[in-house]
Amino acid sequence: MIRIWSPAPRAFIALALSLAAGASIAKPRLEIAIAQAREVVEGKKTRMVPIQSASPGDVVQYTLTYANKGDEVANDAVIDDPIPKGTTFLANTAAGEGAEVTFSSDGGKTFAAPVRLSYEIRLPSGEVQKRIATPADYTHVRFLIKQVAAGKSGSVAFRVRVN
Amino acid sequence: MKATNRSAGLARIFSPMVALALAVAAFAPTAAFASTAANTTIVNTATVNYNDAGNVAQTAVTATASVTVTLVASLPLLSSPPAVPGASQGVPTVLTYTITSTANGQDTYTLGSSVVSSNVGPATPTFPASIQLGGTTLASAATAGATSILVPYDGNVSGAASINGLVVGNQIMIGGNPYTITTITKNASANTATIGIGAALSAGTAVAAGIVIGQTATFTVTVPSSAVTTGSSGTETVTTTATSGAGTTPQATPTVITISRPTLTVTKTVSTDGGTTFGATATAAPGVSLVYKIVATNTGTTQAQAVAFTDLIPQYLTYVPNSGKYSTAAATYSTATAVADGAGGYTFSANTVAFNPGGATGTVAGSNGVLILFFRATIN
Repeated sequence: MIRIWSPAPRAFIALALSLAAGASIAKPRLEIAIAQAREVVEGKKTRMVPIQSASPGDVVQYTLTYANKGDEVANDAVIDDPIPKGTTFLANTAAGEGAEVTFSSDGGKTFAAPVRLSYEIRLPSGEVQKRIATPADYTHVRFLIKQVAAGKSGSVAFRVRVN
Repeated sequence: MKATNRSAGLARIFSPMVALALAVAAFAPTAAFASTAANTTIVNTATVNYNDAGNVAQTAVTATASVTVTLVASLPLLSSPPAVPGASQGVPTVLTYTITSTANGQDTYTLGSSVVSSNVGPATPTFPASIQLGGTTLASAATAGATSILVPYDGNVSGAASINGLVVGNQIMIGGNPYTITTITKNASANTATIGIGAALSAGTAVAAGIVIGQTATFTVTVPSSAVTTGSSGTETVTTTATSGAGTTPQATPTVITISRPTLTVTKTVSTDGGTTFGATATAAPGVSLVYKIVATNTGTTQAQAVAFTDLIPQYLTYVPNSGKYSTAAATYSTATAVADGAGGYTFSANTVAFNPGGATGTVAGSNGVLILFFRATIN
């Protein structure tokens, strides 16, 4: 009886090996998409309307949607987005579930939480002073998402005003 | 729920920032009005870097979205031509207007003009139906001495010679001064274009990025000078308007055209001493040669043209052939210019003296210009 069944365990082992091989090539695969929309007020309700064009002064919300289409967790996903040329970042508008938000005011060289962002200016006296960067000085916004499990998705968003 | 907490947390972080931002704003010069030119493409490219479970970096992925900036219609600046105090009845007045765009792109301005007449007949002005003006904005600050400005690229690849309606030869306003466009160079990859202005920006020019650079152009409104109703003058008050999507802007101060007409008065006097002294009345014996003087005076303020005299020789008088003389200023018979019968518009026919010199002689200036005619006749 045992002999008759003996090939079976081998088949199981082979299957287990192939599974192990499959596991070794498991990868996360993040995808990202940007949606741009404008808030439209209709009476007491507001809704976001997708846009292709905007007027100076308009507030545009960029929603960055990410999804892990792979079969393994993605770690330390860092979404970097330069504040688009011709727009100004609006304070307190960058957020996303599970995302840690930092900003750069030096063209993306360094990122920090808002209170720690500063820049230097030279006063007429020649003295160099450090000033806290204002949201209008931000050049980049960065969202750090610690983990995106396989098959999971999420979104982060921020708003700018068209100059 | 977590998202709400996150944004609340951000708000807490930002709240001291607002105070700081206000403090910094006091130091930084802020632009009065910043704008991006129409047709500018605002590109947003996001990049995601991430690691796999073993913390091995994976290939970054990117996504891009673009927004095209739309035209924001804006009221143009329209000049108010100065008053025209000395228009002549029958001679149209041509008013030249300057119109300057304040929009972030090309727009068409519909023109209108109306006349309110006072003591003159109604008048319908003629003017172009509309005018098209280009416009853009500064992509970077413009400073004194620069011979070009940097503006956003308008996304128009085929229209290399034009940027948002601006072409070489157009005049644009930079820092309140007009400059003529000499070159347009587009740089699509940098999303900018350079407008050469052929001359250096004047001293003191400091225009911040985002400020609108509008085309300035002129157009004319021709106002017929209608006939004065009574008296010597009347007025036409002209109001010209320019209309765009932002509304209608009228000229700030209506232009008042004062239309005058010539007013002739005529006197006739006679001399019995050969043309030295003249009076309205005289006594003379038969056979005496009289000199008649007819003076037309223009008491109006505009010139009278084609002034002509006719005078029927009275009974008991015989015209002395070729005795005509004229003057366009005060004169005696001896100092006036002789004019032969049948010459220079002077005729004697059917016992009537007629003088219609035409041209400069027949034109009598306003404010008491004169035309004087002398001729002689003998008492039968």
